[in-house]
Amino acid sequence: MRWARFQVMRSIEETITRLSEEQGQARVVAGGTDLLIQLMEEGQEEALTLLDISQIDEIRGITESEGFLLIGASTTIAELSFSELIWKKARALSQGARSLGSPQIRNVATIGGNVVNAQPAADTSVPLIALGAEAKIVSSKGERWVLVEDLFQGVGISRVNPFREVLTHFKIKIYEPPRRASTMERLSKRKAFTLPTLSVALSVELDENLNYFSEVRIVVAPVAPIPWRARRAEEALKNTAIIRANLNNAATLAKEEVHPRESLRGGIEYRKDMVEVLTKRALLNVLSLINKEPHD
Amino acid sequence: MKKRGRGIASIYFGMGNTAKPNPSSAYVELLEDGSCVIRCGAADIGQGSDTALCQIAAEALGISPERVSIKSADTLITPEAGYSSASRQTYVSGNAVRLAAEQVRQLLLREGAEVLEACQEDLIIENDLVFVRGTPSRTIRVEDLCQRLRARGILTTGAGFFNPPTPEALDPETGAGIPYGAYSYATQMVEVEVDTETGEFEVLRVVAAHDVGKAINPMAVEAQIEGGVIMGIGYATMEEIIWDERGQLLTSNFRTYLIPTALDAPLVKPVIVEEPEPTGPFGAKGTGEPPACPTAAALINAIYDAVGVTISSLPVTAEKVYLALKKKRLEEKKENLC
Amino acid sequence: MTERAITFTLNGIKQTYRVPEDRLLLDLLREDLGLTGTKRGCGNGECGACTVIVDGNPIVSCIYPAVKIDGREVMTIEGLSKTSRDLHPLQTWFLKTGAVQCGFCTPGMLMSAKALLDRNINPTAEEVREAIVGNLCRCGAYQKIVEAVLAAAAELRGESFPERSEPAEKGAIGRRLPKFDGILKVTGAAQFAADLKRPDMLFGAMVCSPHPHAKILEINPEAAFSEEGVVAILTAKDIPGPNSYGVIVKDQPFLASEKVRYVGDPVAIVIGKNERIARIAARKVIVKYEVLPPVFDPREAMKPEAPKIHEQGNILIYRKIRKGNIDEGFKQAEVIVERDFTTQTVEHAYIEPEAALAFWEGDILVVQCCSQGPHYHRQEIARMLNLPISKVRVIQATTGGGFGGKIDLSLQHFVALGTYMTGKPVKMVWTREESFRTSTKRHAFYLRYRFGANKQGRLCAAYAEIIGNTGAYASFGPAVITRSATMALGPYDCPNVHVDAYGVYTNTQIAGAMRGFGAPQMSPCHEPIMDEIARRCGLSPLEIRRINMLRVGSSTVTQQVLTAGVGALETLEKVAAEIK
Repeated sequence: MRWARFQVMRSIEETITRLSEEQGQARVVAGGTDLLIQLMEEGQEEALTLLDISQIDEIRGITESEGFLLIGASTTIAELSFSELIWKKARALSQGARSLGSPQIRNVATIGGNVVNAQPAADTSVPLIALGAEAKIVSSKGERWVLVEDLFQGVGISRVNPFREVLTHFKIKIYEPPRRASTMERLSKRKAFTLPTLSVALSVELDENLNYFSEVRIVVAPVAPIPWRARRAEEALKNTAIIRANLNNAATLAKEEVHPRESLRGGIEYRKDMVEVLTKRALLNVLSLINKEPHD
Repeated sequence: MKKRGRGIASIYFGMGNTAKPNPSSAYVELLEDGSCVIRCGAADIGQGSDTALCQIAAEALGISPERVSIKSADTLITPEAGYSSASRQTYVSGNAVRLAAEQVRQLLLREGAEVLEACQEDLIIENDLVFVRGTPSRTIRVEDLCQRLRARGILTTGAGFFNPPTPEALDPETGAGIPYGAYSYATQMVEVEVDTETGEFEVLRVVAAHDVGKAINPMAVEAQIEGGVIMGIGYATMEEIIWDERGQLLTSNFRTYLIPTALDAPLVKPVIVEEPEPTGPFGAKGTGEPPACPTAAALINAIYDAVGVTISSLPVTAEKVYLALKKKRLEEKKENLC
Repeated sequence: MTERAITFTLNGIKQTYRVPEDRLLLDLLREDLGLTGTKRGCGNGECGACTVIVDGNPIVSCIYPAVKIDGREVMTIEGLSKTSRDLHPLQTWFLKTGAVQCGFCTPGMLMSAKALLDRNINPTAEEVREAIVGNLCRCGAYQKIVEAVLAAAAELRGESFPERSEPAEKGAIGRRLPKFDGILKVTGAAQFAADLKRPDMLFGAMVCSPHPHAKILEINPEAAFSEEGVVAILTAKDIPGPNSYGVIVKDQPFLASEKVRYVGDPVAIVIGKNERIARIAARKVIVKYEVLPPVFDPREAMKPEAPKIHEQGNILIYRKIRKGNIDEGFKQAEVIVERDFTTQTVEHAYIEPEAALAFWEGDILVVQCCSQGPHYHRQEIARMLNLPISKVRVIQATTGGGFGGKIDLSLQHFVALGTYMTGKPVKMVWTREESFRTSTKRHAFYLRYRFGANKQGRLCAAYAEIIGNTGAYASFGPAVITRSATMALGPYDCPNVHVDAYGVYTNTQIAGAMRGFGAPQMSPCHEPIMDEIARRCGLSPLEIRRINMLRVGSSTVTQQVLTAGVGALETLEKVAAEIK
């Protein structure tokens, strides 16, 4: 058997109950487009019970309220990529979703599964972190909200334990002009359906007079075992004038603070240089979304 | 900054196994209703040899191709026809089928001459009818001829085999000799747009002109050209088998070994050139391999045209283009300082 | 294994079925319900050959648990048309435009296209490409596929679509006829080897070497036999005939006996009651190896001190061309361009993984398999089993692409041996990973070129050194190197040519025949040289080729004088016309 049982859950409550009952012999699965491949790799045999949460209505769908977007964890990547709401108010996430996999994969893969799979360059994780997103984790002990950024421990190692808890929702502050915007840049070896050589996602908030960045979040991956916040670059931009020299400087800082390893996806020199290029492009793009031209 | 460039590349390609005999054989059976069955060992692997052989038989017999069927690649039923490789099936098996069909044609002509009271040389077989040149009213249907022959105890079957003419073994010292019976020639042009900041490039379009002698089925020939170019693009830009230092494959699935998707395939304009091959069936030679041969070369030339760097290894990647441009900029800076 | 009853609508018909909870939808369709139109190309959701439509959405069924279709509507290729006569417009247009080549990607492709048109009846060409981006087509038929989908969309909207005009119907040559085997492919009815089955069929799985170079000390099948349902475990000692084969040089064992020479070299075959049992047991076969030092780079492998991969040494073949006098030629040259170039090893990557089925029919051993040449397979299998050739029958099943990779034996001999030893039908289907590891590849070339020309751009000297990595066994190595020597110069006329071409063994994947046989590797070396010569002579890329291209009367590198059928210049002029 690749797994022993595959049970479709109807509610989060049922899921939590089953997890407790199985005491570590059962784990949550959503779309399964990563997990099932891992379980089937060169024929492992697992006495595992999979609890399918992909069809639980209470954790599907995208709603907006009071300046926030609430996204159910079992919302499919396809639903995210088609959503007008996400395109307008959390653009970087829409861009990430549209780059993920193929149409067939997007119809099944979920945003929750993508985050819990904990790949550093996952196409929803990178923009979620750039958007400052929070995730709701539910277990038999109760519920908590955690920054998505804090869910990553290592490559494939999530701080969410799928044997005991369920990630149910994401909450994102709305990033929309005139003061806020987000964007994502991505390099890959093929036009589509390919893991990224490099991704940069960023979100910005400008002050009321649109003179400087009051808030910047820049995420770069894969350059480390977890998604990387380019904090030195962010610090250099915060509360400074929006002029090209500052943008270029920040891009250079982003490049200097990353230390990627050699990888099949690309050499170190190239990827570092591209961090600078993509960061610069992302900054210019996000400014054009706000209709703000950087001064020279 | 985006810069565009164009590059061309030419190749030639011998049809069939190099300097070795590689014969094909075929049986053709014309049935009493004027339809035809071919038996030939040539394996159709998607390139369309089954259909092309049917068209060749139909032409040789003068019947409509819709009446022709083929059984191929079953060793108990079909005679040998070599591998479906070396771009040889249209050329070699095509000739075998043509020769087998010619045998049947001879039977039809002899019988037709009697029935229509004409000389064999004056007979034409076309669209399932045999008629006398100049007097189209004197006709007889092919199936009627077959039935007449049967009534006399003659079955309309033919067998043929063909080996490319004079593939001689090459001289071991000089390599001199005639390695192939026929050659195909091709030139391709790639138009590319390079992003100088990232090294990424996009193949905008490819024009692929291929001399196939005679296109038995132009749609199938186009498909081979378009498909070969796309395989060439994959080879040129994204495919690579990679091992670790212990000889273990790191690329053993489609996530790590990338082949072109529908979005990676550029617009391809196939141009069929027909310079008749005297030894080929109705002038045809092969087209399976040549389309996959010049594309990478044309791309490298196009990138030079666009940004002035020549890449020295495959695959051509954004990284290689970027690093070559970076090196070039540094060298130019040094020169300017001197 | 727990089973569950699920109720679903499949191709319009509601049904209930009991499935094990670890069943994949693809296997429910293919194995349980006998709907073999949906294909397995990779098993990882990465190629799209297994695409079916669930509740209107295309999904990859090879990673989709069957229990998930409970309460849902599923469409497969078999549901696209009511009968094989009453085709859906997508199917008729796929046939009319030539979008069907090998047919293996076709069912999945049609499903993605159907789902697109159900959602958007007026897609742009770009939208069509995006919709099928998850369906890989190695035959590269994308352009014609897009044309077909746009045409079908137009027909479904009630509009007409411009069809290509055919010349007046005279004769059969030059006619754009849809492929005669096309209908089977667009309806999913074409039988590829993995679709075949026979009663009482067993399944074979390989045990392969994990080392690039090692001596085999012992093969211990005991633990594997403890797995219930294992029928036989076959090694080299079970082979009745000589344990060697090869298309040119018979240096490859049917099953490795003394040595393994690459990671993936097959060592044993486990025959079991079904695929799962055979594969589990195969992992339990214990093989003891003495690891030998490997060599991966052919330039290293050529050196006398390199580890010997084959007894006769690591240089499989050396082919030379000596035309004219190269030293004189370079003395005359006013422009000399040198270029070193390396190419990578690549894979055929046909979407159909290798598959074969063998069985006895009376006293004839029959093998149905993917193949580019069944007569060659027959010959080798007969040799292996000491049977007269007439007692072996090889039937090519519909084959999902070859590109040179399905000429050598891959698994035909394994199933034949299995049937020979057990008396029962034996089937084997490779996973994508097995196909990557064990099957042949295109030679990587290390090239050193030097061309000389006079100031008018006329070539007067050409030197080429070619070192090809032929991998662990010969396969088509000698032919690739020989052909490469004859094409090393490119399509040009040059009086003085010197080529040294080597095929060298290494402990990497076997390099054999792959579309182009040396030309794809060499043209990116010589074509930029021609452009550079052009630049130095103040000529354009077109002009330099006009001056040097082969024509009737030219002498090739093998000193053959061409007499007819030389369309080279015409191809150049056709391209030139496009540039204007």
